Amino acid sequence: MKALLAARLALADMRHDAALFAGVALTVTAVLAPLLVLLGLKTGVIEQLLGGLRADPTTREIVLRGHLPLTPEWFDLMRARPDVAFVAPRMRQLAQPVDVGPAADPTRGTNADFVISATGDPLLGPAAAAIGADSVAGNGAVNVAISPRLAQLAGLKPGDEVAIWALRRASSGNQRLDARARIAAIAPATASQNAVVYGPLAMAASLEAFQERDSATTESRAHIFPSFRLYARDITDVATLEADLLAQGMEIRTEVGRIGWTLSIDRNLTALFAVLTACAATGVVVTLAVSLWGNVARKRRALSLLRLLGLPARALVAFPLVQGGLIAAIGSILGACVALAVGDIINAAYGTAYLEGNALCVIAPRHILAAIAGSIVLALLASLIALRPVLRISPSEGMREG
Amino acid sequence: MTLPLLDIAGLSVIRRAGAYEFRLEVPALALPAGGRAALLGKSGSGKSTLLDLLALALPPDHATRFCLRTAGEEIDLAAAWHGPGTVQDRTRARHIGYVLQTGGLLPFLSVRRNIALPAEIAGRPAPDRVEALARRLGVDRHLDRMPHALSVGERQRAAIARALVHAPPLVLADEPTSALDPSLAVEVMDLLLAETRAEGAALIIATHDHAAAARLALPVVAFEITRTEGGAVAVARPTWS
Repeated sequence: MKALLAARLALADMRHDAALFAGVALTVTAVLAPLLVLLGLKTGVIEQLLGGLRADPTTREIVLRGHLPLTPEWFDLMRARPDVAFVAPRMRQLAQPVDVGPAADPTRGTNADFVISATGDPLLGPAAAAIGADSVAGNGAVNVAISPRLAQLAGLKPGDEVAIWALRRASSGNQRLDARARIAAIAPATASQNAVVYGPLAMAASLEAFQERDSATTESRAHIFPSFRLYARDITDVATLEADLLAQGMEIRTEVGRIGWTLSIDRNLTALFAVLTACAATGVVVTLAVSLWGNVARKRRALSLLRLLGLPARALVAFPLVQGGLIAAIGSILGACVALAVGDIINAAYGTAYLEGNALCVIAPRHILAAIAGSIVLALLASLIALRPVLRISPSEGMREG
Repeated sequence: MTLPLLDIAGLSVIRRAGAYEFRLEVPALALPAGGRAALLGKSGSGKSTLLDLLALALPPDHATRFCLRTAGEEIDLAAAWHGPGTVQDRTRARHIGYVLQTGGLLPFLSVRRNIALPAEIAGRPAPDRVEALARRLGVDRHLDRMPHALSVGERQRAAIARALVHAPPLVLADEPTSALDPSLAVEVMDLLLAETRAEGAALIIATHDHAAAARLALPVVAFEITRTEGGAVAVARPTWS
C-alpha cells in the first residue's frame, strides 16, 4: 500500500524531471541499439552460412573411399546411433547398372544406376517416403523413386509402372531378370544429375545376385556389402562420426573442414559479441547507478520530507527501483525500435545484393526480449547502490532547509 | 480533569558536535488537546532540538514520560524508539501535521497532491477535504499548479492545508513565517492559528519572534541556557505553570 504510493510518487518525480530522465534513458538506447544491430548482423550472417550447409544434405554425408566387407550388423549399429540420420548399403563400390523401361513394353530400356534408398533418406527428402512399399496396385510392383534425368530420358512420370532389369552374359547369350516397380516420386534435382533409380535393398540384392550368379561367393555376398551411403544427423555430428569411422580403420571423406570453419566463425563472433555485451552492460550499470544515486542525493530534502510525513524508509526504495526500472524499460524499448529500423534499412540496402534476398540483419524477437529484460535487471542492480543512502534518510532533514 | 494530549516529564537529549556537547532538558511539559504553545528562543537555544523530539525525528536519551494521547489511545513515544520505527512512522502519519519554514511542499507534486499526501500516507484519502481546506486558505485556484508557480505566501498557506488535511490532533510549525515579509507573516500566522483552532488541533510553533508570540498571546515555552565547560545546557520550561 505504502510501497504503491511511493511508486506513484517516484513516477511523479520522473514526470517532473522528464528531460533529465529522458537523457539517461537515451544513453540506454544509444548503447543497446548498435548492440542489437550487431547481434542481428551476426545472426544473419551465421544463419546464412549454417543454413546453406544444413540445406545441402551432402554436407552431412560421409563418403567411404575404397571398399570393405561390411556386415548387416554393422549397418544396424550405425543406424542405432543418435548422430546418424540415415545409412544404406551400396551393393558395389561404384555404380550398379540396370535398365528401366515401361512395364507394358519392357524391350527398350534406358541405362540407369541403382542406388539403395529408404524412408528418411536425406538426399531425397519427402520423395523417399514411399520407397520399398508395395504399390497400391497390389500386383507385386514395388515403389521406387527416379532422378529427374531418368524421368526425362525414359519419359516416365509418377504413377507409371516400370520394369527394372539386370543382364548377364551366359554361353547361350544374354539373360535378364525383371523386377516390377512403380514410380512413386521424382527425386529432387539436387540428388543427382545422372539417370538413377532409388529403390529398396531387397530389389538391389536380387538384381545383384542374378548378375553375380556365376561367381564363387554367391551365398555370402548377399550378406556382405562393400560400401555405404551415410548421413550425420546434424552438421555438428560429422566430426565425431568421422573420428569413430577413422578409428575403425576406414578411409573416408567428409565436409568437416568446411563445417568446422563455419562453426568457428560462429564461435568467434559469439565470443566477440559477449565481450562487447559485457562492456556495454558495465557502461549501462555505471551510468544508471551514478544517475540514480545522483537523483537520490538531489532529492534528499524531498525524500526526508516524505519520511517526516510518515512514509516508512523502506517505501522510499521505490524511488531508485521504479525510476531505474522504468528508465531501462523505456530506453531499451526505444533501442529495440531503432535497431529494428536500422536492420530494415540494412536489409533493403544490402540484403538483396549479397544474400539472394535473404535478410542480412536478423533481429530475433527473443534477442529483443532478452535485451529489454537484461536492461531492466541491470537497472535494478544499479539502483541497489542508491538503496543505502535512501534507507538512511532521516525525517529530521526534512524539517530544515538544505 | 482530562489527561493532556502531549505529556512529557524528565526528558533529556544530548547532541554532540566534535568536542562540543549540547544538552536539552525538559523537566515537565504538558499540552492539552487543542492547546497551543510557542517554543520561543534564539537559534541555538534548543527549540529546534525540542521540535525534532516532538516530530519523532530524534530519539531522547532519557524520558520518564513521553506520550501522546489521542482518540482513547496512549502512544508511548519513549518506548517506541526501542522498536523498529513503525510506531514513529505511523504516529507521524496519523497524528501530527507539519508546517515548515519554507512550506516544504514536494516540488514534483501539484498543490492538490501535496495537500492530499498526508491523508494518503495515513491511508485515509480525502479529496473533498483537500478542496475545502484549499478554499478556506485561499489557494483553491492554484490546486492544479506546481508549487514553484506559487508565491511564498501561497505556498505557506498550502502547507497549512497539508498540515491539517488528515485531521491530526497535533500540528508542529517550525518558524512558519520567517521567510515572509512582515505583513504576510501576520496574515499567515493568523490563518495558522484560526485553522488549527477550527480543526481542534493543538499547535506548537517554534519561533524567535517575541513580538508575534506576544501579539497572539501564545503560551510560551522558554529556554534557559547555561554555558558549561565544553558545551551548554538548555532547560525548556513552560511559563504558564
